[in-house]
Amino acid sequence: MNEENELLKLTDVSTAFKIDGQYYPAVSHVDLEVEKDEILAIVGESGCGKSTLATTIMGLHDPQTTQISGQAVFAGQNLLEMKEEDLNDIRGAKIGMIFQDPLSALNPLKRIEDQISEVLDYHTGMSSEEKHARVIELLNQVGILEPQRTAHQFPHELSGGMRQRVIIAIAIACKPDLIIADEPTTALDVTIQAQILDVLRDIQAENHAGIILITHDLGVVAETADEVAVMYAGEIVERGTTAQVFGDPKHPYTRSLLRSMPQGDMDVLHDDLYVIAGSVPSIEKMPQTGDKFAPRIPWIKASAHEEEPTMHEVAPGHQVRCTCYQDFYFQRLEDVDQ
Amino acid sequence: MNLIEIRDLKVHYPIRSGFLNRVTDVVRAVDGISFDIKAGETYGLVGESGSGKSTTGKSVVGLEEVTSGSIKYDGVDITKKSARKKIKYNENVQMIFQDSLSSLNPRKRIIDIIAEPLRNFEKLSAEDEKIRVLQLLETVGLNPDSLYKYPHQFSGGQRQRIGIARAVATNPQLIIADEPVSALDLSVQAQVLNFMKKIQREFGISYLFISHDLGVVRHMCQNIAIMNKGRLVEVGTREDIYEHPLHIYTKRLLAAIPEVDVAHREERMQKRLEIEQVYQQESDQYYDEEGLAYPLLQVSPTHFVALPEDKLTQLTGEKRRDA
Repeated sequence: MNEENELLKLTDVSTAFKIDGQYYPAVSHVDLEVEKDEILAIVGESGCGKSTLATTIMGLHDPQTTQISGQAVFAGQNLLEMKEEDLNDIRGAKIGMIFQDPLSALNPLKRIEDQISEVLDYHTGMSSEEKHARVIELLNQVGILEPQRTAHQFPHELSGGMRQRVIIAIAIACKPDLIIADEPTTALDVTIQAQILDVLRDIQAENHAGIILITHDLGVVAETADEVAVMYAGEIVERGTTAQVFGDPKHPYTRSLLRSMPQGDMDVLHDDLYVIAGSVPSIEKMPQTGDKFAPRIPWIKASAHEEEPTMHEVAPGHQVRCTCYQDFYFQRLEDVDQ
Repeated sequence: MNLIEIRDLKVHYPIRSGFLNRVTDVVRAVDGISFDIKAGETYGLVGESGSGKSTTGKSVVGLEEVTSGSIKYDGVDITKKSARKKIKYNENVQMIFQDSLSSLNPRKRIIDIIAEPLRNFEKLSAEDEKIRVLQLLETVGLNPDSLYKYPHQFSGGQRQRIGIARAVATNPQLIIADEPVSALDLSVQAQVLNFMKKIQREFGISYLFISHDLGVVRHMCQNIAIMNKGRLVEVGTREDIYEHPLHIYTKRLLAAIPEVDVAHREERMQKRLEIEQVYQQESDQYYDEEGLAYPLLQVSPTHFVALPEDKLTQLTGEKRRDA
């Protein structure tokens, strides 16, 4: 780990939501670092806490109903303890955010140029000419072919892929050091998805930014990320380089997820996909101690799990939660109770 | 044997504008497509958003007014409502929707949701009806205590299985599945796809599987049609489409699928960029003056591609030399 390149360091970050007067953890004890020129993917299924982690870093939670602890150090300051006014100077300027749904993230009543200028107005003192030039430059950078024309259009006149490009243009308007992209391509066609991921990579190379890419799509992670963190039930269960996590997955959850993907060589009529037993318990019913994935692999003996699972280094930079990975094996498909 | 034969199907929507609200133009959502679905098979209809694949699905199930062409079910053209009534088409053809939350009535209990098609087509006593619904719940792996619950009490995967139970309630011959798993997590997707296959093996159901996800389609479908701007650009078996794609649109779709094989990601990206370049530069060779796909030409007994004669000779000739 090179200290100089470190952009964001999360230490023991936890977020709990208040439901009926009681707090339930959505994110538990997350440690992560993001460096310059790096794409860190946080991957997991719905409800695993990956988006909550992003909104925690950005300070988008209501303190009345959320309990946040730990540290998120960005440029020497702990984001989790900053005042709202100070955060506003960082959000949009030093940290850009890209959301999943480009239609609801854009104001339907404003022209594209005005929406991009809004960020520049807030964070810079540019003149109108400078702003216009910057807007056109940004639209060019995200691969919009006729920037002058698009600048004068409204969101509803653009396709989904074009809208997502505009969202990216807004996120990078002030050349942020860190970009948090929450499912940036989920609503898009595969060919558009490939283009948007190319744009993200190009921007990262040009601006030397760090990117946190939050997604449920293992393929997107494998194609794009440098580092991966796999989340299950609010915890990081495995992390390492993309080559480590996909080439030599260790945690039972990572291995099960990869195994449940459709493979090309299966028989159309007879071959079934691997199914992970059981389902993710709701946040109120989540066990607070022990290995949270243990109920999904009931055929692994209880003694294989740690009482308080911790991260273990299996190779330099490659970490796995709980010791159960050493004893894990797949149950035969026929024995799995669906 | 072909269960469904679609010939030159067109669905056009008029655009009205101006002072007299006259028809000034038409949107050719589906513009002359033909394909067959065999009994007991899963047929894949693949395309990007706006390609017309969902409109095709809706016209097969009878939810969309057909402009011209025919859809034959067991030899009977069902594009007219009266014909559908006569052969109990609506009982034999059912649909599974993408969004399980908005396709299940939130104010109805599961027993009423699943029993609704039974109540429409069969006159069962309350007791028999309950037994049938319980059997259906068991088929899709849900607890008997689900009967009196409401849709919001279930997870996304469970709701999608309720949608499947409702679709198979009348023992249909054909189910139109429009993006049935695209809103689901990977582990839940595996469950739902397995149930769809299980039901197919048990009841011999055919599926028209509409999806943009080429990974899932490869897992589910023996025969596949690729749709682009209302027309078919390539039709063939799974092997034809995935191993020997000919149309640049098919190649481009295949190249864009993200894969988990990290070791070869640079090569794949290079290949994708090359194909993208061909797509940008040579698209006039693959599409007609209006930018639409050409009529399909036969390449092999199972493989068809929408190309002009000379381009096809050029492509297959090149391939033969490679081999």
